[in-house]
Amino acid sequence: MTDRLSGLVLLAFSLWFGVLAWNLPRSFFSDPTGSRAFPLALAVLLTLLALHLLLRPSHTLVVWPDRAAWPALGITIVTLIAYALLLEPLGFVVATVIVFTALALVFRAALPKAAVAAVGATVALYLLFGIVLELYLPTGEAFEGWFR
Amino acid sequence: MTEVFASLMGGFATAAQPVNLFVAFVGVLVGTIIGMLPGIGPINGIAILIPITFALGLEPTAMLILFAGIYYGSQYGNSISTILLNVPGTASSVATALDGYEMAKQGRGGPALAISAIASFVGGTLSVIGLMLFAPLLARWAISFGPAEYFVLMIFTFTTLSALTGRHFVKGLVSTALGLGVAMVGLDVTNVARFTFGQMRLFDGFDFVVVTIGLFAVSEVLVLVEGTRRGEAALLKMGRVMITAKEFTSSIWVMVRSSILGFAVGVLPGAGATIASFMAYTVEQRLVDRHSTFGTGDHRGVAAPEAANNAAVSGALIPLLTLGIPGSGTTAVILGALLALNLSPGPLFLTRNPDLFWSLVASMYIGNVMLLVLNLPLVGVFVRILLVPRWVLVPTVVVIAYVAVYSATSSSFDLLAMTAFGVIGYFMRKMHFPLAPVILAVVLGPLMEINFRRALSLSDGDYGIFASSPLVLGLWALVVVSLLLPLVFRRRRPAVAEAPERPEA
Repeated sequence: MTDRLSGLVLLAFSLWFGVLAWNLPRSFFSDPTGSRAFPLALAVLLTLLALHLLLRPSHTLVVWPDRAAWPALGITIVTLIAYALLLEPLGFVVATVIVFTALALVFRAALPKAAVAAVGATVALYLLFGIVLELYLPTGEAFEGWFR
Repeated sequence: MTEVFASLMGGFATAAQPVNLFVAFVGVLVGTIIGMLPGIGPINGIAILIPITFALGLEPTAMLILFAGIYYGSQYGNSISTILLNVPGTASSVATALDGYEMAKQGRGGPALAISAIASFVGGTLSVIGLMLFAPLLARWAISFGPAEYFVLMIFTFTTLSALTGRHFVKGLVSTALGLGVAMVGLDVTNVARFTFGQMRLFDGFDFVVVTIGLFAVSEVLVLVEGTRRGEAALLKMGRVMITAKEFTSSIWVMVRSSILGFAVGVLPGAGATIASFMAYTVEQRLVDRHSTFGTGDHRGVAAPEAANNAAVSGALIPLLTLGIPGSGTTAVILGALLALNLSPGPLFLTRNPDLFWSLVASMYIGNVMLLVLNLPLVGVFVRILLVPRWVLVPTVVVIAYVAVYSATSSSFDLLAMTAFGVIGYFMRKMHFPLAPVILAVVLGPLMEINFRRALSLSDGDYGIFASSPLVLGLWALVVVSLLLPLVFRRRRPAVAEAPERPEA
């Protein structure tokens, strides 16, 4: 069943990919292959593979997460997206404390313990990355005024 | 032979420089820890360290020593969590669990760890001899490869890796195709923008580090989140980390044979450490298991796969360095790093950078000794790390991964892309699409297209060039063989399929 589903999704994807590839510039004299041949060949290959999954699915048993795990997965994904978006505006320290705490909570830590660990880990990682390895860590656009 | 010896001595001189000794030590130490902990694995360890080493401006030699150290060090670490927790970090340690975890359940975890460290040392050291002797030979032979040969060789690599990882050949091919699709995003060799939707930031394409960390590390975080509802695994008592003289003498030939086998299998693209460990286990079971003790906690059942999977690592470095063709996800990531440094591995790599190659070889001898010295007495300390609760470990891994990528690219967009690849990777793992072929295709895809286009330019558009030489035809024959492999393996590999969610490194 899941094979059919993934076959269907892949089929849609490969057709879309094929249409995009079709509209790429054609080959010209000095370059017999052109930019279009490879993507088009790939679209054909992927379409065939998708059809294989759709028409001759294997009998794999996929163990989906149970109902209680879906919210945890959702929260984790949202937290990760938030980290990507907040790192620049809030800076490494604040964003990391928030994200670390949130993820620790997903793994069922108690809030006080999670917050303490988050602060400790943030300081340790700041020392490692910012001071020892001298990597660039964002200070945070929101706080830039404070340091001037 | 004297030539080899002189070169090796030169290599030791470079490898013994303080910087290189230090990175070798850091590499094997980080590798051990990474291999042991759930959710990281060598492929992520190296991918995360790539932006950091670039930012630090590490010398290419030191970088290669570091990555190789992580690669073989992780095989040692992997066996620790496999034996004590029955949690193989990557598929290459699944065979070790068969007897290793049984030994630990009987209170013989210490001896199991000791035999695994010794077997890893034997496998690691013997296979470096193979690397040293065979890499130059293969490089000399590969000089005759033209673009058409390279193109077909890459097809062969893709088909074997797809055939041998995961349960379904078709799904492996789908993974490869998706990776090739990701590789096509951006400007091609003639500066035509493809699949960029007019977005300037897609013109450079997706960085393979972003794709790798997303697919492997972020998806692993999601797998671990799902697992929180199942409770944590319990750590077994170890006992003394020692083996008796009798145990050692009874397994020495097991280790030697498994090392040779592991090395040979490791050289083949796509096969690598997982297949090597299972083959070694099966072969030794036939050869030495007279009382059917394999599977019930026989130390030789630990020695065989551990020697083999460490030996496979050196084997896997041969096609990487001499052909520029990696056979696995981890070697693909190392290739990506070398390409980013403008070092292109291939037939001329060894003659152009002899110092780099020989110091790598020398560092691997040194690194394996370091690992043995670290592992036998300190395994008790390492095991403590396994007791770090998940709620500390996982957020730490997330922060390190995101910050490493951000420090290199300063781009929130890359972090978002990484997260998206993580979600995709999670669903692919759930549906048994292997991830290693994706990374291999992302790294090799551009090279494959360049070689294809170059071949056709040479022949003025005549496709006959792909069947023009005996070498190319021989490679096509190998492709056909690899396409038939799944039919042979389908019935014979139920054991590997036991760990569908363990990524292939």
